[in-house]
Amino acid sequence: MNLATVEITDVHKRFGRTTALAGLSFEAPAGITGLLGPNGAGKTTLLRMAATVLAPDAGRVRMLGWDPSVSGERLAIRRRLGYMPQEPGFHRSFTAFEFVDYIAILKEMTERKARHDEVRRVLDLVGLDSVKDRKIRALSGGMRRRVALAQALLGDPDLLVLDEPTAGLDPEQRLRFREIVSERAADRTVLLSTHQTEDVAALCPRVVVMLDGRALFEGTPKDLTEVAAGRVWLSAQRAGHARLSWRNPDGAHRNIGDAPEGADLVAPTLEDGYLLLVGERAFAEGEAA
Amino acid sequence: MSSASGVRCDQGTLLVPPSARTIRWGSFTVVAGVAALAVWTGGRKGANPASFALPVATALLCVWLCFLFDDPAAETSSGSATPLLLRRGVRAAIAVPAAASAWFACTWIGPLTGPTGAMTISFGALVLVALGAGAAAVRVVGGSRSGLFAAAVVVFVALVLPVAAGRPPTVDPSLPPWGAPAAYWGLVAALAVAVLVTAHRDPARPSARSRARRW
Amino acid sequence: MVASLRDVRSGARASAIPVVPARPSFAGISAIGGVEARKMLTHPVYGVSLLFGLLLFRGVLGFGGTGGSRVGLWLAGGLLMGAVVGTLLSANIAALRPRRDQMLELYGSLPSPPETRTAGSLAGMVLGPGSIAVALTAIAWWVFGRDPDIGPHVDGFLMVQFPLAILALGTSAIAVGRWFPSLFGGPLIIAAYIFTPIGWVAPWIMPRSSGIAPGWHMAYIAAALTMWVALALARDRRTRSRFAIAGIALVFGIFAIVQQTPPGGY
Repeated sequence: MNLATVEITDVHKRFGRTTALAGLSFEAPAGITGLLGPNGAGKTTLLRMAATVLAPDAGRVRMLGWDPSVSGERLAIRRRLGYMPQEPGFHRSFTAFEFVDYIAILKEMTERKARHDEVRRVLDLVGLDSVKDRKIRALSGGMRRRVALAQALLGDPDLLVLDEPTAGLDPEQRLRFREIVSERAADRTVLLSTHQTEDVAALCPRVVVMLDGRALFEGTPKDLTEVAAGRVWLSAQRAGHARLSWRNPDGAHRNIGDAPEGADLVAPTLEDGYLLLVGERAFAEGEAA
Repeated sequence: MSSASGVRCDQGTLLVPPSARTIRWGSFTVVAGVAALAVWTGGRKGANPASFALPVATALLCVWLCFLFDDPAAETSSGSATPLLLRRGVRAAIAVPAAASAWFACTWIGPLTGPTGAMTISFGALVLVALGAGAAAVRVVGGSRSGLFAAAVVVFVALVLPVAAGRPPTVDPSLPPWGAPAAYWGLVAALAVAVLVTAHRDPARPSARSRARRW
Repeated sequence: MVASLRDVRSGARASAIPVVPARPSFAGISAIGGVEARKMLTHPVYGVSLLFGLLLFRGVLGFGGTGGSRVGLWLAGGLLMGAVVGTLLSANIAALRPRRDQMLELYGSLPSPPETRTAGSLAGMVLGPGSIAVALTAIAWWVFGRDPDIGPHVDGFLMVQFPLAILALGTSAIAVGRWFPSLFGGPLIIAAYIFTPIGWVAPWIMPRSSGIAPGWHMAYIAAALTMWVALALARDRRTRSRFAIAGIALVFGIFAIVQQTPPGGY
C-alpha cells in the first residue's frame, strides 16, 4: 500500500463571501493523482495550498509528511516542489532561457554551469530547445505554457503541482507531456488538475472529483467509469429523459442518464462517469430549488 | 555546501541583473524628468520650490515606487524556496537608490542647494510608505489596481494630509514651523515599516484567526 | 480563357465580404458611452479624488471662520477640485483599459471600427464625469455667488469654464492614454499641467475681472477640446486629416491664448 504523501483533512477556505473549499478531505499516495471538477469547484485553490502559496482557514494540509504552516517544514516542501500555476505570469522581455534561469536562481541553484545545464535540460524536455533564445512575448500561447512546465520541472522535484498543464497544448505536445509526467511519477507525487478527462484516463491511477469545494469522488479511473455503467446508450434521436445527450459525428445520439428498457447500451468512458457524477449533483440541486 | 545565509547571499547577487530588467525604467525616466521640470518651474521668478514643487516631485518619484512590487511573474515564482522578502528586497535595492538619485538631483535645481536633514527624513519616510503601501496593496487588492491603491496612499500622506491639516507639505526649515519634523516623519516611517513587514508575511502561514481556532 | 478569367474575377467580387462601414454608428457610440460613464464614475479613483479634493480644499481655504457659507464653499470648491482630478484619472484609466486587459486582439476582430470605442470613451466622459461636473458647477455657482469675497467675480463666463475645463482635461487624459499606455500618464498630466510650461495645452479657469478676453478664451477652450479629440481619434487611424485638425487646433489655440491675454498681463 502506498503511504499518503498528500493529506488534505477537512480544509476550508473562503475569499470574502465565496466559499472555495468547504471541508475538503482526501489523501494521495506517490504517483499521479488527477483532480477533476467543474469551474469553481476549488481545484486551483487546493493546488495553491499544495504549492504553499495559500494557507487554509481551517483544516490540515500535509505534503510529503511536512506541514506547510510550520516555517521550516514549509521551506522543506518548497525545496522539493515544482509548481505550474493555472495562469502563469512571465517577464515577457526575457527569453525562455532567461526566464527559466531566473526561476532556477529562485530555486537556490546558485552554481552557474550546473544551473544552465539544468535549464537547458528542462527546456529540451518540453521541446523548446530551438526557441530558448526567443523572447517570451514572441512565443505562442502553447509555447509559453511549456515554459511554465519547464520551470516546474527544474531540479527534478519530488512534488509536482500542475494546474491545467495541457491547456493550449497541441495533441503532440499533450502526448509528450504524458510521457514526461509518467516517467517522473514512479517515485514522486504529482497533483494534476485538468478538464481533459482523456489525460486523466491515460495518466492517473487515482482520481479525485471535486464539486463545490468538496471531494465528490475518490478512487480509480475504472471506478469513476463504472458510475456510468449501464447508463450510456445510443439512439437515433435525442432521448428526452437523458441527462445529457449529443449527436455523434456518425449521426447517432449518445445519451447519458437512466437508460430505458432495451436501449443500445455502449461501454462508458471516464468522461461519461464524470459527467454523470457531477451532473447528477447539479441536476438534483436544480430540481430541489 | 554553503550555509543557508550563504545561499541567500549568492541568490541576492545573482538576482540583481534579472530583477533590474523587470523594473519599469521607461516610466522612471519620464517620472524623473517631470519631477525635475516641476522643481525647476517651481523655482522660477524667485519662488521657493521646496514649499510645494519639491514635495510634489517627491510624491511623483514615490508613486513610481508604488508599482515596484507589481510582478507579472509573481504567481509562477510564488512556490519557490526564496523568501518573498529577498525577492522584493533585491528589486527595492535597485529601484530605491535610483529614485533617491533623482530626488537628490531635484534638491539641487534652481534656488535649492541640496537636501536638508529634515527633507531627507521626509523623503525616506515617503519611500517606506510607498514600499509598504505597494506591498500591502499587492496582498490585499491584488491585480492591476494595487499600484493605484498604493499611489493614493502616498499622495494622501505626502500632500493631502499635510494640506488638509493646514500645514505645508514639506519640512524646509525656512517655511513656517512644522512642529517636530523628525518625530512626525519618524512616526510615519515606523508605521510604514510595520505595514511592510506585515505585508511580507508568508502567504502560506496561517492567519492569526486560523491559529486561534486551532487552539 | 479571357472570358473565364473575367467571370472568376466578377464572381470573386460578388462573393467578397462586404466592406465594413468606416464610420462608427451613433447607436454604438452611445451604448459604449453609457457603459464607460458608469465605469468612470464607479472607479475608486474618482471617489478618492473627490475625497482628496475636499481634504485639500480645506487646507487651501484655511481654518478661519465657521458657519454655513464656509462649509458650503468648502464642499463646492473641494468637490469641484476633486472632480477635475477624478475626471482626468478615471478617463485616463478608461483609455488604458483595452490594452491593459489585453482586449485589443478581440476588439480588432469586431466589425465596429476602433473609433467607436474611442468615441465611446469620450462620450462616456461627457455623460458621466461631465454631467457630475455640470451639476457641481451649478451648485458651486449658487454657493460662490453668495460669498462676499468671491461673489463679485462669479458670473456665467467664470462658471461655464469649470465643466468645459474638466471636459478638456478628461479629453486630454483619453488622448494621452491612447498614445502613452501607462498608468503614470494620468499623474504626469496633472504634474505637467501644474508645474510645467505646457500647462496651457489644457484650459485654465480665469474670471472676467482678470482682464481676459472672454470670446478668445472660449475659442481657446474649443481649440483645446478639438485638438485632444483629434489626437485621440488619430491613434485609431493615423490619417492626415486628423493630424491636420489637431495641428490647426493647436495653432489656433496658441493664437487664441495670445489674443485672450490682456495687454499688461493678468
